[in-house]
Amino acid sequence: MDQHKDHNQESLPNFLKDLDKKALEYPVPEGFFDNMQKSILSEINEVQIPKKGKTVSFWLKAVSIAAIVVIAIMIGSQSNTSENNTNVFVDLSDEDMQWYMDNYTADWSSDDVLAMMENDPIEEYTDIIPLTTIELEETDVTEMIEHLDDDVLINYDIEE
Amino acid sequence: MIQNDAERDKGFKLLMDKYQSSMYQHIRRIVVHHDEAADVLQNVWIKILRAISSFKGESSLYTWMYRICTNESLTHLRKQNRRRTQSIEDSDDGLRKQVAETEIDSHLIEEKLKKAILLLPQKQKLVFSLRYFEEMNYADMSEVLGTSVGGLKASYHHAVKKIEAYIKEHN
Repeated sequence: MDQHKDHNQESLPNFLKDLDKKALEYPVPEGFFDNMQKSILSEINEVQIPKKGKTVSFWLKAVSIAAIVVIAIMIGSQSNTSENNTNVFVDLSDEDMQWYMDNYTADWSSDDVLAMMENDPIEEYTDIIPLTTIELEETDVTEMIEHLDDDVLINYDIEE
Repeated sequence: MIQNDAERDKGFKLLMDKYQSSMYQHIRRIVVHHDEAADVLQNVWIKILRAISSFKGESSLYTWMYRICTNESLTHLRKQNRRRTQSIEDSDDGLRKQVAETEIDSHLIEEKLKKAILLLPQKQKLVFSLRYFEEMNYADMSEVLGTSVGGLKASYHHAVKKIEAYIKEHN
């Protein structure tokens, strides 16, 4: 530091010239500078860790955002429609189907019921009993035909 | 050495070994109390060591460090006195009043000089400290304090006259 010193001080009062400048220094506790150096170097070295931490943090954020997007897409693709519910239902094993029926029947919505009815036409589960001859005689065939669907008529031979 | 990661800590330590004592004294003359001077000095070194790799060398490292040192000390004083005062000159008045009321136990000339310096206005105190204790030339002081050489010479002259008057009065 001596190269920075300018010893050519302008005229000073004698008492300032004669003073021992060392004696004017403020005292410091023992070990003060050593402890301070350790503390400073420790803090300076800690500063570099966040640089790596920042990189890791950036990638963590990127991966998290990507995961959220993927999950959102997956959830979006699994829309909760009656059709999908029915497909899932059909894929169940007999045992699972029975468990489902026992436990979740009450959860069926009216949409679920209607969807099932559409998939399983009521005709398949209904026995249409043919009319007797007397009944036929008493019934105006024309009138009866008006009340029957064409599909039903196809399956019967009306006894004359 | 500081640019090399493996040698960096060693370089920092050498730098601190060389300047820490004189910088502490400079800060202590401004903020007065040891604990505050220790806090300021630690902040100063952290700022210096963090920024040293980007130091452009437009001024000498020595004046650059003393500029940081002086600014941090004045900023600390300003923060300490923000609630009570409006400017650094006002806070300096408060500090001087506090020092003036302190009795000097010792009759040694050194103790009287310390008190006389503390009673100087802030700018004169800085100029006197850098010139008398650090023996800094006016060109470097101009870089540290951002004041013209003529202004610094005038401040130093006034500081010496005030100290002389104080010593004569209390002898």
